[in-house]
Amino acid sequence: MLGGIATQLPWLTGCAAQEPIPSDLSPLDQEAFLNLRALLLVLFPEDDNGPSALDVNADRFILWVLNDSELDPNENQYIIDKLEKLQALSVEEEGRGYHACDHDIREDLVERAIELGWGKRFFSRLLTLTFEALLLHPIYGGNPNEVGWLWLEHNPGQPRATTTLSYPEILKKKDEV
Amino acid sequence: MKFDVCVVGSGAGAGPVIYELSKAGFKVVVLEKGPWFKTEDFTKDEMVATRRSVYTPNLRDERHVLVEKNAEGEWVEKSTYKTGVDFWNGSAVGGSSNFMSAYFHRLKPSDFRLRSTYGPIEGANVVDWPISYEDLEPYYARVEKEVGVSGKVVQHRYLEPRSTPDFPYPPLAENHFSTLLDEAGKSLGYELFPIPRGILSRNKDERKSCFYSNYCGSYGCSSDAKGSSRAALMNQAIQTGNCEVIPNAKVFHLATDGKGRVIRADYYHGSKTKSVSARVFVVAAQAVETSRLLLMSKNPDFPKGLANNQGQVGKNLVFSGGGIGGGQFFKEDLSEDLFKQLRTAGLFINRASQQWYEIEGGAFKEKVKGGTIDFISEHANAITKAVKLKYSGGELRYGTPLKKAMQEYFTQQVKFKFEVFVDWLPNDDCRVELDEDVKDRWGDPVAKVYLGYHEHDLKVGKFLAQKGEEILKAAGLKNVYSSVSGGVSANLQAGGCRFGDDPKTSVLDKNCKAHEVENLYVTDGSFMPTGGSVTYTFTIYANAFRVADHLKKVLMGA
Repeated sequence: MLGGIATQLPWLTGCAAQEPIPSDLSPLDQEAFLNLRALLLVLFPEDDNGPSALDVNADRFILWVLNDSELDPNENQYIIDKLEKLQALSVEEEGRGYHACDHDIREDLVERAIELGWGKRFFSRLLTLTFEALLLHPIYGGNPNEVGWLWLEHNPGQPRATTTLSYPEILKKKDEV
Repeated sequence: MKFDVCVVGSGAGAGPVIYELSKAGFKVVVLEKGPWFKTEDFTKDEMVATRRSVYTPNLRDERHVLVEKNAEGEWVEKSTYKTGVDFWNGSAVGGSSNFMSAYFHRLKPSDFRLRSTYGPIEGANVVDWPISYEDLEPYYARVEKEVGVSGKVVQHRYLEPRSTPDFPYPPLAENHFSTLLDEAGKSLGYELFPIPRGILSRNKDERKSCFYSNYCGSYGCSSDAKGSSRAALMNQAIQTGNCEVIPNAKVFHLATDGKGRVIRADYYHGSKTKSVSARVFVVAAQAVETSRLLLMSKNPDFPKGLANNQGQVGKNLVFSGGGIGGGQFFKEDLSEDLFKQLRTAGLFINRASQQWYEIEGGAFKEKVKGGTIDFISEHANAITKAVKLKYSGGELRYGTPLKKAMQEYFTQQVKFKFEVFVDWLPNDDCRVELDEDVKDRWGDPVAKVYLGYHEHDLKVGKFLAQKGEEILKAAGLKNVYSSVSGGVSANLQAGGCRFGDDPKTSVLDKNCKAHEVENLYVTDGSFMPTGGSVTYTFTIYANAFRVADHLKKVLMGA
């Protein structure tokens, strides 16, 4: 039953915050990926309170989620579609792509998408995935050096997750007959 | 190989049967639809436990159709694949008992005779049980010993009669909040008592005492302290050499011989279809799936499904009525030491009140059945907490305001909650059918579950929730709230194959044998005609031990 990238964690190591753009952005193109990064910094910004979305590698985490064939493909396509819609809104209202806009304009466009009715659920979904990048064990590529747990003084319990018992590995075990 | 007993499922309803019959020397085969996770496979990984479908089937492959009334009073069907509302509870060897919180309250004597004690309620199919509390009491005591229940018996007005003076294991270590609750109860004149837990506070055989590792419900236990069917019973059954467990074996049909006997369980195993023969078949697949399997097992003798010639299979499904509530302590209001004590991770609250297990007066003209209030910690799941902070007043919260709200919630306050449990009155609108349009990955009809509730449940639930609020306020919490609805907790399901003396109105006899089938038993929560006002697992365990004793006699005599 298994397939796709859910069976592996290809960037488990060496995934420091805000690394250069990954070589494989599938199923996004470079424009969409840059828009995603810019959008995440509006939703979960760099400020003086804890890590930003990019500090916890939420962009790459979401890319991994988009390749997880165990998840509802419609839900993943929804994210891709709405990223395109945000780009179209930006081009229509600002005459340029979303990530090319200034931060203030990006914030305005997020508010505009919410007003238009299609933004609320989309941004909510991205926030949930950002929370996963922030608060799951670092083996999933987010939460580098446990920065999310430290910020929120979160006690993750024992025994902690391990690579050999991670989601992709447990899925393999699940299907053993 | 022909087995003495074939057990379908391996959760709390199955474990005692597997354990007792294996130990008695009978050959037992267990067909479990889920995989076999071992103790060493369990970690406190929020991703695995709650963020993805790992301990439950992928909804793409196996789903339910839930039928509920909308605001206009119309029944609306929704596939759980579309809504994402997962109705599975734990599909693995040991079933959902691996992932329970293990609140082990007994039923009370009046729960066995609800109809004769409190009278009929219009629109509810309330009946007395065909057995009494006295019949089940020795088996509650056996569960306390064999599965392992920790706690301390404290006298209160609805304490059940007991054959043993106390629990075999002392209470688990407690958070300071338990003391604050005790003081609040005393100041209000309300009785609170320690909640018995199906969690070891001392080592038992190869099982370790609780590690106090901060996560319990929804997570597999790393110490085996939690009394799952797998850890507490099946591991010992396997050691007898008489028990064979086949994981990932999805039973889809029980075949009969045309003379009222089941002869074969047909199951999917990987890409193959296989069969098992046995003298006796025990189904314990959890209430919804048990009814589904019987309804799917049609043949000329049982055209409406196995044991369903009277049309009773799937009827009178029950959940647990009630609601939740909570409140907060804020760091700025407390000494540093007290705040630190209250935030100590891993310790249990373990306080309940059954002061209102029966209610008389007030909003109720006549004496009615009440329920239980369990006081609990907020679950440690970090992502679950964060997700709740995304919205404020219905508006999406994001950016710096969201981060500020998260930082404050996680570091500047501590939340405690309560859960209210009242009877879910059995009614015609709460049942299981087969959905002939929606199929699972094997092409079989999925369960269509009607989730109708009785308004009386809300009335009782709201009464108790107000009491819960009162206690939290007296304990010093702020922002105290409660919420009661007719929504279901999928992990608290029972009924659908109720037991009784009349074959026209019940599926099972008092020994949980199908009236219409000579060698078919059902031992999960399906047998329960009413659910009581506590969680079900303890009673399911006790009843399965009772049926196991009966089965030993049947198998020895046959």
